Amino acid sequence: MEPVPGLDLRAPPFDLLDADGQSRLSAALDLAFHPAGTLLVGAGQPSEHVQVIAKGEVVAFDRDDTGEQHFADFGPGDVFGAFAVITGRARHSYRARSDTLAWLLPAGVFRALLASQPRFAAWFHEGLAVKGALAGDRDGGELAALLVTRVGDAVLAPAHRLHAATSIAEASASLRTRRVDCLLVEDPDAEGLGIVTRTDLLDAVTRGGLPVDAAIGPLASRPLRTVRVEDPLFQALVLMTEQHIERVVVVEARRPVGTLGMAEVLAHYASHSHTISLRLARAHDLDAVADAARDMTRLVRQLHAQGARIAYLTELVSALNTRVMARLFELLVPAGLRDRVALLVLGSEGRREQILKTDQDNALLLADGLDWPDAAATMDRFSQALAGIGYPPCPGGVMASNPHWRLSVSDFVARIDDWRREPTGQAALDLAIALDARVVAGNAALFAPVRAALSALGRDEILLRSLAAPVLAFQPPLTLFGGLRHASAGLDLKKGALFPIVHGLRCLALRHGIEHRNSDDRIRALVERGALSAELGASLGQALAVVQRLRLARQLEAIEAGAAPDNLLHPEALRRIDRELLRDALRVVRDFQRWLAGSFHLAG
Amino acid sequence: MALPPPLRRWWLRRRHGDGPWAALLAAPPAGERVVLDLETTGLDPASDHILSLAAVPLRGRVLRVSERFTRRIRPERGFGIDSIRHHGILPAEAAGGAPVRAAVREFLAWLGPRDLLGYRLDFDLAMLAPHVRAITGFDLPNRRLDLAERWARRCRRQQPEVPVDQGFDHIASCLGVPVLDRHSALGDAVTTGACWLAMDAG
Repeated sequence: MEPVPGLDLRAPPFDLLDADGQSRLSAALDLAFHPAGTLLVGAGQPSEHVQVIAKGEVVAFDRDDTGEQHFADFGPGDVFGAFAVITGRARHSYRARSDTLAWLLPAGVFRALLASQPRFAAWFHEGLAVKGALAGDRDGGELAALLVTRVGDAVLAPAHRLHAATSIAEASASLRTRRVDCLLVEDPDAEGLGIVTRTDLLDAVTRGGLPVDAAIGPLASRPLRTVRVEDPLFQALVLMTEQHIERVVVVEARRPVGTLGMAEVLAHYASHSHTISLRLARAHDLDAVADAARDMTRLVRQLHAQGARIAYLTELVSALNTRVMARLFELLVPAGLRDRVALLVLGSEGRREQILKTDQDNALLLADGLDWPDAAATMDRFSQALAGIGYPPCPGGVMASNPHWRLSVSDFVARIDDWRREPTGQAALDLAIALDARVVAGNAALFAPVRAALSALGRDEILLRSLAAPVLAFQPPLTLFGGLRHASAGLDLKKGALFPIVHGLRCLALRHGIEHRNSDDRIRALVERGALSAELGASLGQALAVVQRLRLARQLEAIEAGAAPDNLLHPEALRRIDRELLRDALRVVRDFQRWLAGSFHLAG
Repeated sequence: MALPPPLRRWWLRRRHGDGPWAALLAAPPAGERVVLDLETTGLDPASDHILSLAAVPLRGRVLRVSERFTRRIRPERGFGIDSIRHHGILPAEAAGGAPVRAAVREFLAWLGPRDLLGYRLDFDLAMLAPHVRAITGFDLPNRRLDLAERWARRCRRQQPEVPVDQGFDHIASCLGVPVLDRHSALGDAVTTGACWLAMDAG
């Protein structure tokens, strides 16, 4: 079918269709004339068409008690009505502002194209998933989940059960005949099921020196690490990476229905995460760790392209970063000392919100009275090793290699008190990142007194107020009418959007005694406690995801171009849908800032 | 020949109502038109040839481009560089088209009794006339609507003393309609239809 006149198939999203898709599109389009003022789609209504504007202007608006709220403008080349077609419910009302010519793509053809053209579908789902969730729309949220396979969709290995009294030899035969590599163990003397893997049996005989007729009962691991059939497959990947295990048990309504190994997960993702993780575990020197970690950027790029949710990405990247640091720590810190020190990660790594390998932000906590003359030299090596793998040194010097960030438990507690009395300038910055600290290696118990001292700050309203003040320092670049203002130098996503959200949540968490580090966890806890409205909480989570996603895309682009990743974004270079999402996100930031100003009595 | 269309249609139905082309003579469906445009080797119906034909139904405020009829036509003899400059169809491309008689036959079967709409439609119909007559035995009975004439009537009504510019590009630009793919039959048909809709709106 010859193309329709005046519709550019080389422009997104139509360039994502293959030749067959373009031909089906060209065969199905009609051209409608909408006189100025015509209501094209009503909010909440289904739409029979997706429309592409050929000429004219369409405005999207919402109606509330105070009248019509202008939401967005659409011009030639823009697509609207896709969301209404996919979900059966338009989010906004659309009206022709001027006489408008628009190509009409019938809903059925659009759906068929989505179903058969993955790249085309991804273009719409990516934006719409977030968009839908922004509107608090359940359909939109489920749509997003479609992009992530469920555990139940993977090929599960059967969960075969044996009694604890079964011998190693029998169990081993059973593994072979059933072609599985793990078994569930029923032990009347233990609580719940246990699991033994092929490796466990082998180790018991070859390294533990057990006879092959010994019972498997004592070999079983408990409790089972489980994922639910309805969990995203990605969750299983994160769990295995984090827990350093090769297999998880899949449960349905709490009953084991099978087991899932890395191989099965990999069959779905074809990604490098497990290879990275395995190689890390096997790495016996610094170079090997470095080799294993090098693939991370590629993994992130791949998962990003596959449409993985940003929350899972950050979880996975943080899990891998943690493993890298823990492995380096084990390689460098003598075994006898590992129990008397604790390696802390601060800031975004502490919150598990890293999207790529970024600046080192860490500190070393030493047990009181520990004398370790080699600490400086060891931490220097640690920092250099991280730098060698691709984690640049922190420009602010927040690193265990810096004596300022290598301190005893009581010194740390004393410093927290200093911060409390003088929470300005550098002290405020230090305090902020310390509030996100978590232990990644060493003795976690050492951190308890520090954690308690940090939590105690939450009762100091004067401190909270000065700590929260910087959230207002940067106003989102929105025009009077809520449009995006163009900044020639670009928009600093970190300053303009991430910081106000993350820091605002950090201050609120501190005030309400919430120990969570992760922003999403903090939001959930604050909402549960009634300290944040469910609506603002949901919007904040979505805004954070949008900003993180745009930032990741920007940084991947920079890396591709061989430039240093930065946080500057040029809104005019964004696709329209991203620009809209960004604008929504910035509105949320602005609302949150206003709310915080009231809550912390800040002068706005 | 000067009979008003309904009368002519009645008269033709009496003569050809049982013939193979009776469908052309049925009552035209209300509210539906077909925008027609041809690309030709030149502007003289006596000596020039049809190179392509595009027709797009128009119902309500929507040009039913998805129901379009388009044919590339093989001219019976060569054509010059001047005409190639105009329509951009190369002789080799034209040679891949359908024979004109077959294409017009298919078009008539597709068209049925629907009203025809075009820009300077008389020229296009004059190009088709010998083929239509040879195929059906009578002249095309469909009602005709012309964008240029409608435009001229409106201009004279609004500003009787100003000479009317009936140029295609001028009409489109006055109506705020983008000229889509000028000098392709489908592009001109779609632009003509969009202009008609714009005139309907005011």
